[in-house]
Amino acid sequence: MTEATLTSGQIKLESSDGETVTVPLNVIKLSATIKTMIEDLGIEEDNDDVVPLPNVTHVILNKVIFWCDHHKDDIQPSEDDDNKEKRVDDIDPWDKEFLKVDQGTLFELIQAANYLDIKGLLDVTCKTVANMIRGKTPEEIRKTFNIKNDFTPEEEEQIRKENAWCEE
Amino acid sequence: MSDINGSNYLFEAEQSLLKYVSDTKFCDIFECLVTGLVANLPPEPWDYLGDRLSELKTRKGAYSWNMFVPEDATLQKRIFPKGLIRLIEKEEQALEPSADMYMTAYTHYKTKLLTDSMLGFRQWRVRQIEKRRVEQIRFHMARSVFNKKLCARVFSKWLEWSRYVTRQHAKGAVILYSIDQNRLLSAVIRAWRVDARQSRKQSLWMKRLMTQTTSDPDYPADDETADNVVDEIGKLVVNVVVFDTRLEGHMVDGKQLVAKIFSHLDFKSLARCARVSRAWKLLTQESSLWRHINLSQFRSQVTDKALSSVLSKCRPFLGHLSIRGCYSITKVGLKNVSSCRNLQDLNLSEIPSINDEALASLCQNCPSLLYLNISYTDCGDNLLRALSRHCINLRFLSLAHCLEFTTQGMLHMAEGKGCHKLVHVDLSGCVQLTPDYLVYLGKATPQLQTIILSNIHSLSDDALIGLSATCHHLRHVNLIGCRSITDLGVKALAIQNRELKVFKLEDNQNVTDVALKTLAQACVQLSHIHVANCGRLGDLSLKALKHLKHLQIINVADCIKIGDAGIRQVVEGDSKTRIMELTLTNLVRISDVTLLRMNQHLVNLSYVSFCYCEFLTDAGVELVCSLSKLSGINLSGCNITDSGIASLGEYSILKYVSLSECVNLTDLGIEKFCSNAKHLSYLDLSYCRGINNTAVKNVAFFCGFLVSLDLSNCIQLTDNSMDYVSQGCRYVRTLKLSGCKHLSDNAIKSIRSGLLSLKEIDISNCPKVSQNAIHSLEKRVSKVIYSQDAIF
Repeated sequence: MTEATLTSGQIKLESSDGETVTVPLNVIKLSATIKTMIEDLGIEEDNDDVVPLPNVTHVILNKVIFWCDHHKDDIQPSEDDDNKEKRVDDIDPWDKEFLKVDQGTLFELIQAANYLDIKGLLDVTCKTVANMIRGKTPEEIRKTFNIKNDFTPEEEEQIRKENAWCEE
Repeated sequence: MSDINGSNYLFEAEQSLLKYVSDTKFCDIFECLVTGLVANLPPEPWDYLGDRLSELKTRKGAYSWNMFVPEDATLQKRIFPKGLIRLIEKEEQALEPSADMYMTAYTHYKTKLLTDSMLGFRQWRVRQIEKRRVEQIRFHMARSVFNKKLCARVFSKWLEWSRYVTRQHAKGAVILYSIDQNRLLSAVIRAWRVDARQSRKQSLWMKRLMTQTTSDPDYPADDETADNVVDEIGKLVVNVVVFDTRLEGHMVDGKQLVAKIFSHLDFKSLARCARVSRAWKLLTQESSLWRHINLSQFRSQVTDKALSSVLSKCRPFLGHLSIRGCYSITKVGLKNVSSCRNLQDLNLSEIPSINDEALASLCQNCPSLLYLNISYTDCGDNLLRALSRHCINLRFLSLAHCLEFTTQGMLHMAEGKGCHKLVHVDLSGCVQLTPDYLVYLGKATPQLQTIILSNIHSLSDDALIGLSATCHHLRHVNLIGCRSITDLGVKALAIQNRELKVFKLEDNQNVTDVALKTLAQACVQLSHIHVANCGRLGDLSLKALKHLKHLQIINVADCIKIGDAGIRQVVEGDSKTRIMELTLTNLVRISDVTLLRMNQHLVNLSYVSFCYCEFLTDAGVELVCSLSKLSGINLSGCNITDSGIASLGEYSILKYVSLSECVNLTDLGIEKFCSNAKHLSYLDLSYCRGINNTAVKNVAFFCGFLVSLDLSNCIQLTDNSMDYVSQGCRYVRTLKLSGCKHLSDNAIKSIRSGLLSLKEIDISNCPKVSQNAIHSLEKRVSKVIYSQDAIF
């Protein structure tokens, strides 16, 4: 697989519900899974081989490709950036608009990003969920994610005491 | 035959003689006498003849040839077969003409023939010519007739066709006109719809504002949160897919993913998550989450007790701990920290209680420390000694603004076991440093790659020479604010450290072109050069950089001697395709020529600054804007007008634009610019006194992704402008409005309700903003800057 094919070629992906999507390689290269597969298996250009993605539906796949297309020219963050403090609210506004979806879709996007190993998308989706959790009281979190409180009041009080200092 | 000859003669005689012969029938008499002689053969011819003559004399009438021939005689044929006359005649015919006669006859005949044939020929020829002429005339006539007929046909066809085309055109025009009308109509309707929506939004929003004003003004923030929660619940009703239940299916995968999500949460939120349910509590105990702990945001809340409770949970996993600025921590707390034996990264900066004694035991217990930040503390020589004894693996050490340690400490380091693996040392602001200190540092850390010596005004050449005598692997040198350095120091550094990639020097009036030349010759790998405000550097310095192949970032701000010629060397140099950032702030000598060259060569330029380059014109700015990779541009203080910024963002996706102090700009220019630059995230329009609410409306309308907006000292802005901003730019985190004197509490109200992501706001010098408004804003926004005198 030459550099030229990576920039100009195309590849076919098949979603779990049988839809085939043709994607330019320079877009889908953001997915480390597919990139590694192409490099290791040496899939040639104009090959009719279809890559099956059993965990991703075509709706989600199209969203993922749309995201990749917008971010294909992004400069990859260098290693030095790890030293910087993590900022949760540091989501690109475009991504924020992109991720204005219901929770089910958001969850499927996280799964797809994880499966396809798209670091940027995984980060930004995880951040979005983290933002949904941040600043909420436990009761609000339960409401948001529809979770039942299975603690006894004593247990809950015990846990609350442990970290009471940071709530002051 | 004598008579015959005689008769010949006779015949030649006159006509009268011939008549005579004929009349007398002399010839016939003669013939019949001769024939009688022949037939009777008398013995006495003369007598016979005499008798016969007298007989004839009496006889009248005709004389036949055989009148004297007896009937029994055998002679039946005439002696003169045709009679004597005939004989004469025959003789006459047989007469041969003479040669002359022939000649004459021939000539005559020939002439006659010739004349005749010539005449005939002439007639034939004349006829021929005549015929041809007539034919030709006829042919011409025929042809012209044909042509005319043809023309007539063609014209009639053409007429037909042109009539057809005209008809089609008319039809087409009708269709086009109707399409155009429809399009126009739809555009009008669309615009109308957008406008209607906008105004509906606006009125709704205004209504909400009104109702808010009537409700308790002290709790608007809580109202907002409640709204959000309701929203979230609403979403859930539609989609009852819960993380928890979904995760059951893919437990292994899910755990990792949840850990990934939780890794973005701060400590406080994690603690709250633990209280949600048993399952979530388990999830929050995932060991990978406790590798990094950052408590710096809690500051005073982090007491020794709190720290110990946190650490008790995660002691074995903890690798990275930051308690920067937690000034309540004392020795006891540090002792707790020292029990985390796997600690690799520790940030203790800005903790006043930190001293040598407390840290010494920590160093002893945590031998695997790689990163240590103790900037802004009172650490001294004893700590350095402890470090050199125990933390042999230390790579990163920040002693910035620690004023206690001296040369003695570094001597320990150089001579002891030492931290010989250090690659990064930050000594910025350590003004007590002597040249010897750096000499020992060099000895102690031969593998040093990065050294930061910023803001040490007294740093001398000797120190640099001493450092570079032993350190030959420096890649990053930061000398910002080192005013005492001269050419000597820079030269020594350059010659000894040929792997240098990043060189930063600022605010230095000693270093000259010679130093830069040496640097460029020795360090071919240089990629980042920062020499802002080094007043003695000129065009020759940039000429030296011409042959460097890896240059990416160049900052020559305030080097006022540099002009077009110098910039040209870099722009057309060997690294012209690599240069990404170019800062030319305050280079008053450069003109549009430089911009033209940049347009031609710097294909990968992504950021450029032309602050206060007052000779640049609109045309030049337009040239630079056509670079396709440009994402940031700073035009503060340039004399550009609306037409100059019109093409900004048309050819590339601009994220950062500063137009501060471009006083010639008006609302029209801003509108055009904003319609191009829809992905803008940073915009500075401070001191653009020409703009008013319309410009801000367009900014808000087009640039919905703005993160930072600076409108300070745009004195014409009123409260309405903030309505637009809070409607359109919902992601703004930093907003600067200082000096906007017409803004009042209403503006603050719209900001508070619209800009939910706001983290920092500057409303100093806004005299109409009341104390109450500022206080209510402080509840929502973490950093509010305001003038103290506004609060009474």
